[in-house]
Amino acid sequence: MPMRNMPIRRKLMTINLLTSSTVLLLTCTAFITYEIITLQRNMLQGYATRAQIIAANSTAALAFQNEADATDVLAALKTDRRIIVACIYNNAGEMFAKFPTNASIGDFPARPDKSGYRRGHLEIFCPIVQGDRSLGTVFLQADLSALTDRYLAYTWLAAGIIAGSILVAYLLSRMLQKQISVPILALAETAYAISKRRDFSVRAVKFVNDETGLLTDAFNEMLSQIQKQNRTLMESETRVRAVVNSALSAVVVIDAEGKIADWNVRAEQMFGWTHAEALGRELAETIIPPCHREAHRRGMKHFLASGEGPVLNRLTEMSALRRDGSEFPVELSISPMKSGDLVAFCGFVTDITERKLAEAEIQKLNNTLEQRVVERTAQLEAANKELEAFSYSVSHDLRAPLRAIDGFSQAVQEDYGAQLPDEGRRYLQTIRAGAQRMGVLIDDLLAFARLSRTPLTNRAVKTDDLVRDVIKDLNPQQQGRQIEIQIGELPACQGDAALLKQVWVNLLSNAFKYTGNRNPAVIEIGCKLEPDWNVYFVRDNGAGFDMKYAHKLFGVFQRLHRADEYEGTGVGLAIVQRVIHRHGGRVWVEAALDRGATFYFTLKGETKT
Amino acid sequence: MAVLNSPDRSWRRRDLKKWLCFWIVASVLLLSGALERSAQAEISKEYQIKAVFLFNFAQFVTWPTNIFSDAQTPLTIGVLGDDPFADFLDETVRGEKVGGHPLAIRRYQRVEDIQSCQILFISRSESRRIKQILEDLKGRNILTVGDFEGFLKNGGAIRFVTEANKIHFRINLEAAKSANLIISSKMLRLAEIVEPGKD
Repeated sequence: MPMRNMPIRRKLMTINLLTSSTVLLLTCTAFITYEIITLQRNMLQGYATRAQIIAANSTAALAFQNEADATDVLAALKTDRRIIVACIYNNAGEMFAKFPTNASIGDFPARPDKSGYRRGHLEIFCPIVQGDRSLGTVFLQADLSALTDRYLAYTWLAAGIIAGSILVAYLLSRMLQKQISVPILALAETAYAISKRRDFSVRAVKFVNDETGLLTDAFNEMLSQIQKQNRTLMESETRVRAVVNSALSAVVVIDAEGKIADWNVRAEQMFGWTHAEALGRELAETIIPPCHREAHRRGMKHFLASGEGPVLNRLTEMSALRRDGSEFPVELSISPMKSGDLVAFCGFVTDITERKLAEAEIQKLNNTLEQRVVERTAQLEAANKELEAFSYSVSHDLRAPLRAIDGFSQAVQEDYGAQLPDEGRRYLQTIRAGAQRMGVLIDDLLAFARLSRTPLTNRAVKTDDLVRDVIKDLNPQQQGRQIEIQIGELPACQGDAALLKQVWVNLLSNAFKYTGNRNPAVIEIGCKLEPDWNVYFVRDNGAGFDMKYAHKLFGVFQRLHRADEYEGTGVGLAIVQRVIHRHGGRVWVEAALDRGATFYFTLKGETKT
Repeated sequence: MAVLNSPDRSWRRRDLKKWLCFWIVASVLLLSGALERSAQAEISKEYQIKAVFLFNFAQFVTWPTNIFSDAQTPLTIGVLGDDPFADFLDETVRGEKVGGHPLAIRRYQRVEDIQSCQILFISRSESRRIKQILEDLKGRNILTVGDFEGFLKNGGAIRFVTEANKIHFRINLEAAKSANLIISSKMLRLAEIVEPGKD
């Protein structure tokens, strides 16, 4: 197993053992090397000394060429069993004596050489000198068994020491590594148990106050935070779950593959699949009717590719499928949710079966109502026409007797006026005034009635020109008076020119009339533009009226002033109102007693064509 | 190479040359008798060795220091009577030094001629007068060497003997001591020590 994957316990032990054995090995190697070098030097020195002794003892033998004596001197070497061969060379380099005597000549170097370790042996050459005269050379050859024996002994010793030390180091590190490995292993075990059981309330036990203690503290702190976050997350999750489940809409979440990822209680009720059943099913297969499935899949694919979805983030109505295969109308809004790289869709589905039924009912009612309105209107129109025809004929028919009354009263006046007392003539005059007044009333009434019957033309009307014409026409009313007429900008409008002229005539003549006692009379004519309407107005500084009677003002024959004060029949404003209403506009008045009045009416502006 | 160039080695070469000369002479004199020739060869080889031994004695014997006035004073090896060494002795000591002293060879016919001498080889020719000669030399620091019978008995210090074709020497320690000489134990180990009055 590679070192990095070892359990920490073994790693620590391995490190300890490797370190200690390496140190020991190096120490032993150094020691042994030193010992061996010393030994070799000592051995060389020892044999060199021995060779010197032989050399000193063999001078005379060499000098007097006494081989027997030289051989005797060499024979003393037999006490050292490590000396294999020895010999004495004379000054010419020829062998003079040898040891052992039976050694073959091939065992010796042919010539004296330098001392040293050679051919697995130690070879010593020592010159034989008498006084200052060189006589020959002693040669010793010793085997290295002393060295090899010592090497062997050292090797065994070192092996023993190393083995023993490793054993001790093993036991020590086995004992001491617990200081480090036990807290770490405990921590690892705790972490493993926590991740396995998902119980974040467990805490690691702190053994020591070193770095592993810090690690344990940090780990526990982390656990606390995870626990706290978990709790917050769980609370939030519960809250969200409660919200989702209490929603009146079915909440359906799908992942990017179209598989159902969430499904609230309402969805269970609506579609008939339980939460557990629904999760993981494909949405299309579950709640979308077969005819819409392909469109749904295309839409999702399109969104994932382009990020656009025409049905996203807005209410869409469609039909949905229950588990039992029945379809029902729903209102649906889908929002894409992005969290990181994950895309999901959240759909809110509302069952609108009830609403659809209600809508259908309303539609039905509406249709009936319209039918009834048309019918009623027709009835009303018929009744109105009848009434108008009636009142027209009545008015028309009333004129004949009136003319008779007036005509014969005139005849009486003219033919018999002289015979009548003054009082009688006055009565006749009163009869005639009454009859004539009634005639005017009937004319006005007829004119008013006619207004309803004549069809409207609808053309552009140049209000400005119209108003100037009307003022010109009303010239007689202005004779002998000081009247200041201010005409503002008067935009064109759309309507029936003849009827509108009647409106202006009535309003302006009213203005002239009710400013009769003003000097100067001030009449202001203008227009304010509103978005859809032109608001025309006529303002005077005349008598005005109390606004509490304003509602009576536009009624037929309704008058706020006595006839002898300001003449009139009380039909003019009724005609104004009828014309404006027929044009779709509105009429109103603002006034105060003795402080003049302002009449407003609205008309459609000129249609741009 | 140092060994090959040493005086010892050159002596050896010269020795061989002489041997060659000798053999040429011997061949020329073939007709004059093989035996005679053979005896002569034996004799010259014997004296070659004895010449070397004489030189070696100089190395293993210690003389009283006062006999040398200075380091340059030669250590003299003398030959009394007929010289059997021919020039072997001169060849042997040429260029050699012992204890810093050069070596010199002197040849004497009479005892009276002997001035400063440390080793004196007394030739066989003096054997009849040996008693008188040794008597004359008594008290002098001279190592007397001879190779004939009666030499030690008459007070000589060292006598060469040939046994089993090998040259040995016998030492009369009394004689050496009376001459005030110290002989190295190494040399004594090789020698045969002879009681005074014996030969």
